[in-house]
Amino acid sequence: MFNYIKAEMYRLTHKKGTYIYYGILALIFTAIVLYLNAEVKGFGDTYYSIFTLIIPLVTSFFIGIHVFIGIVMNDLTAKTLPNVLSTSLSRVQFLLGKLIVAFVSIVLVHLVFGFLFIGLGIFVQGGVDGQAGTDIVTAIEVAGVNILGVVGFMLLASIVAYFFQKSSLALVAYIVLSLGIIDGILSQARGLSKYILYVYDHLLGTYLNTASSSALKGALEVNQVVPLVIYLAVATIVAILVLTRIEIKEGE
Amino acid sequence: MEKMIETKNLNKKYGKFQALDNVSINLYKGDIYGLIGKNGAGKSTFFKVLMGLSLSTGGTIHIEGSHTSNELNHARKNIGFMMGTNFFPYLNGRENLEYFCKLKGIHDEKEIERVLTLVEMNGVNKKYKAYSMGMKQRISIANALLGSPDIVILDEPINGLDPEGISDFRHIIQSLNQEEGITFIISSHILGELGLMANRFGFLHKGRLVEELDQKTLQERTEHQLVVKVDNSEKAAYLLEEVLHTTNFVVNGQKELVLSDYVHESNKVAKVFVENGLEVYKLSPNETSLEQYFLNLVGGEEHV
Repeated sequence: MFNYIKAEMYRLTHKKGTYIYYGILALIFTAIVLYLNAEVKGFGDTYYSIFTLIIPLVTSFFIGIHVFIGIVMNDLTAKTLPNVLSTSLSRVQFLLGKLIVAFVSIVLVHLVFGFLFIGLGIFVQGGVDGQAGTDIVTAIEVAGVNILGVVGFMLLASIVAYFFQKSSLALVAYIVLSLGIIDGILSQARGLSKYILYVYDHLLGTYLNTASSSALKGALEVNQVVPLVIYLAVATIVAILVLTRIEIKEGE
Repeated sequence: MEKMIETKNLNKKYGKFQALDNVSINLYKGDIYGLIGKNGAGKSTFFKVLMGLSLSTGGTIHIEGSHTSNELNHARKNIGFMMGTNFFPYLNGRENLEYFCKLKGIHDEKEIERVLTLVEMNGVNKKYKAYSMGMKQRISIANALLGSPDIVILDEPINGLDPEGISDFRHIIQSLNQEEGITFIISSHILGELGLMANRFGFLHKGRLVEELDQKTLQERTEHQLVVKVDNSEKAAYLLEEVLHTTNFVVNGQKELVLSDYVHESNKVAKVFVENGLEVYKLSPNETSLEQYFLNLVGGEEHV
């Protein structure tokens, strides 16, 4: 499995499109911050509170989708699964390897953007004030919850991805999950039935929203993180069960 | 002889469709085994089951003496596998091979250069997505050869190669087989080429292995007639009847005869003709092609 992780990290770090994509995201973010700093009076004082609220929403989609495409979908679009899974790498090792690579990738991207976020914070505030430390801890908690959420959505979408082995379906599944479309529909319908309410209460998105809200207030509790971890564990087991039972489609 | 791969009554069903029907194949060390079958005969399914990409619905697989599933999985490490030409499009050929080197735990830095040289791709640096079909095929073959595995399985390896590439490929396979002792199992639609390369053949039809034979037996079965070209076919006919006591021939024009006896004793025919003053221009077996032999065997005329 360690060999597979090394191979995947090699592949992802040699994909030039990744650097271009994140470079553009960083430029857009920097440009927005610099524009607001120039145009909005007192922007520096509200910088952390505004962006700690907005960034998770943005990153869970823009970072998550890119990591999902790179880690899960690339194997399907390039049809490399037969080559990869005929090397004595077991399917369990394959999936756990993907999970670890996903975590590492998302944490690395969050770290890079975290430094940019803090760096721009120092710039717009003209230095580091007493509140900055608290704001940064809050941002780290929000990012942590965010990372769990992105990996959770990836795992759920990867179940669809490996079951159907169709990249387009996998992408749709990730978008639907990460944009909270199912959450939105069930939220509207939860008054209709206690079963719908039950399902809504136990969606990954619902747990994620609860944990994110608490993290934003600096009041994140362990019992709000536990359901997210359980989600990851169950989704991993289901994905492994699916992957070990499917027929690997051959390339063309 | 050491068995490298042995399948016993291997079965694979997709719903009601029997893709593999009690396939028992023996692959020995040093074989170049040609697996022949029409589209949908089960060749790729057989390879997928062998490599663990598809689960069998019956039968057993033993690779290099493996008996448990753990041993089988471990033995698959010693197999180089090529199915299709699918690699990451944004990496170049070398980077794709580097990926698979890392995945297979190959640390020899010269290994990529070695396999790229074998397939004559060491000077190519463009992205994989910009490769021609032939180049993709070469990288795919190179990937299967990474780490000098004991066994190499190649599913349709010469599709997309130009005639020179096909000839190069044959030389590569034969030299790796003879010099490094690598055992090959190859499927191809180009049966003429497979006939030149392989020393054993398996004929798969509708999921069943209808025949398994070696090159010598195949040659004996495909050599039906002897074509003789001489300066005087009338005199040759007379000698065949009077000296060699056969009427099992057809005179084909003034200088050619097609003989159905003495196919494996052409030296006797030559001796009689020369001793009786005939000029012999040609004396060669008229072989049924491998493709024709296969079609006769399975009773069809569709393309292989």
